[in-house]
Amino acid sequence: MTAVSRTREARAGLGMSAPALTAIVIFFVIPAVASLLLSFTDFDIYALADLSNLRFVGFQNYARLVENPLFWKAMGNTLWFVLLGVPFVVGLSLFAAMLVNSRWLKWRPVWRVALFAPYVTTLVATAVVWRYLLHTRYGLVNYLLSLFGIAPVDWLGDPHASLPAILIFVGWKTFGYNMIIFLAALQTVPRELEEAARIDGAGWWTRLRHVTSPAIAPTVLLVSVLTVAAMFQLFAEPYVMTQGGPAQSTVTILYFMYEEGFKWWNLGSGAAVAFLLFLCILAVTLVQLRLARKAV
Amino acid sequence: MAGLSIRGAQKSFGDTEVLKGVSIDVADGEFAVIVGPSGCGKSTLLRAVAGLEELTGGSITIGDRDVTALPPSDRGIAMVFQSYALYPHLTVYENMAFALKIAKAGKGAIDEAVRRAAAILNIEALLDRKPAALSGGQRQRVAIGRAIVRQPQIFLFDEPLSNLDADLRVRMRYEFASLHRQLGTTTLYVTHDQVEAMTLADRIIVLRDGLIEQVGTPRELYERPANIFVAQFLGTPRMNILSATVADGGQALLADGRRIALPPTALPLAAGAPISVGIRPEDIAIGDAPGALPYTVHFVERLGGLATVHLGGREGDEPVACQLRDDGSIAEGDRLAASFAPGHLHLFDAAGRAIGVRGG
Repeated sequence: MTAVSRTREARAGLGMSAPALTAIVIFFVIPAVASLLLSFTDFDIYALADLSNLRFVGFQNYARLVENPLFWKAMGNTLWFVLLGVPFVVGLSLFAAMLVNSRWLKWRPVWRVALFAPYVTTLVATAVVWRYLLHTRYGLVNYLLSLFGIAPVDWLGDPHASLPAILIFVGWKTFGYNMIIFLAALQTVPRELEEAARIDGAGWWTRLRHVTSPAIAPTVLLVSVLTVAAMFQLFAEPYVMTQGGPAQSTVTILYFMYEEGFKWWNLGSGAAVAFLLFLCILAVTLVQLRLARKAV
Repeated sequence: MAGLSIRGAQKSFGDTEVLKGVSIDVADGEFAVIVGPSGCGKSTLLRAVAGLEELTGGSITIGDRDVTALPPSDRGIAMVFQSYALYPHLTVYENMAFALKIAKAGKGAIDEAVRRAAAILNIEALLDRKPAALSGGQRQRVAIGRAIVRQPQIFLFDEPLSNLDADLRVRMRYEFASLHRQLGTTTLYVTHDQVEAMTLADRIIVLRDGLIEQVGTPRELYERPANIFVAQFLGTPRMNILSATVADGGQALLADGRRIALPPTALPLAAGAPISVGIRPEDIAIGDAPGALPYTVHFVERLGGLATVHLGGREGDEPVACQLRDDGSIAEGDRLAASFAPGHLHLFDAAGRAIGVRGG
């Protein structure tokens, strides 16, 4: 290939990817860089009124964050949400997908719709319902627990119970979406493989391990990465259910960022939180991909 | 090793009846081929023997054990699938060892069984590879190896050659035959390809619409088909079928008004009875002879050594195909005489059943 034709080819390639690249630059790169720059300023409500009040403060926002105990509290809460929530949501979704994929289940389309429905419901409306379900005295959840002799739990008022309560709500709200992804993966597992394994004498567990798992492993990775990112960015659920309480037990990083930015109007500080969160998610995702490459 | 006996097998999927009472006996060590057009129920029958499909009615016996209610792994069968169904994340060795490992066989026993099967199939060099790194023919061999390792009482093959190209199919056909000679294991083999059925089978079972049309050796089915369906299903080009009525003097009146002599089997037939006269393309003799009919060559399919010549007569004459050694002398538009020797004719009644032949 000559140099001229190579340049021409490169130009054509750039031309064709330009629309997509433009969108990525406008909606991702510029805001990301802007918020990074913002995190080095003291952008606040006064700067909003008059930009001449804006000052470059270097790493001061970051330094102050590190000294803020609520930041660390939010960081810790978020890590708990990730550590507990990711296996919970991924496991629940996979289980639901296998259930609605099994051949013995009657009315499968109905089940699929029913289990997917929570994902498309309005968060605020369902949060109201769940607040009732989780009510200490009149809630269905405590009633069910009482059948097993378990004393009533103050789900949304006890700092130790609030995080699991939010997790249950998040799991219920999001598993339907992942279930659909898993269902698609499960349906690509060749039926003959399953049958060959049955003839070879493989039971349910062995078939899951040697036939289903290898086939859906890439999908499990994908869903895990997405769920990790979602759990790191948990905001709406604690916002509508507990407002970060009780005793700040459900303040997440994003909730903390929201309060910094839009309650106290410390937008510079909020941008710093956002950037730290971005680094966290990036790091965890890279580790996940590295682990997956080793395993697959 | 053991024989296989299927009694009154019935299977319905909802309202669709796929098997309508099929009974088959396969003797110990026999190579039986189930052949039929797509949708005839042959794969369902095989899968029922494997235990992958539950019968709606009837029973299956392997050796002297009724296996109708047993799970696939307890039936003493091994199956080779059309798609090979190799476990993609396991090596060839692990694929072949899988069943024995599940059965908790000892490491030494597994190794011995795998290496012996690999030696039989000439795949020792592939043992460390993953299925993705194998060609179609090699995957096929591994799939067979996985079946051999289990030392089953019965091999089940579900269209195992369909995914291979023509050249490889011929070679694998030969290998199947020699493998069966070597192992002597009872085999049930399903195919829609009549050539595979003719070349491999000790016995062919022709299935159509969930019912058996005929059972017999390839020779029997070819020479004495029980009905028009079997007659036309086996053999290429397929048998010519001419509609006719029985005439006086041991003759048949063809639909186009011409007469041909009938064999003695037609003697009991009453004059005027409608019949179908069948003759295989290779049984038609070309050249002037008493009773020969004039035809025009409409089309010649040259296959190299052989040619299929499609003959037509005047307007309204029924076209017939005949197979000849091709010396290049016949051309389209030639006029020639064709005779149907009575000894080569197959007669069928109005319902398509062979006259003078008992079906199976």
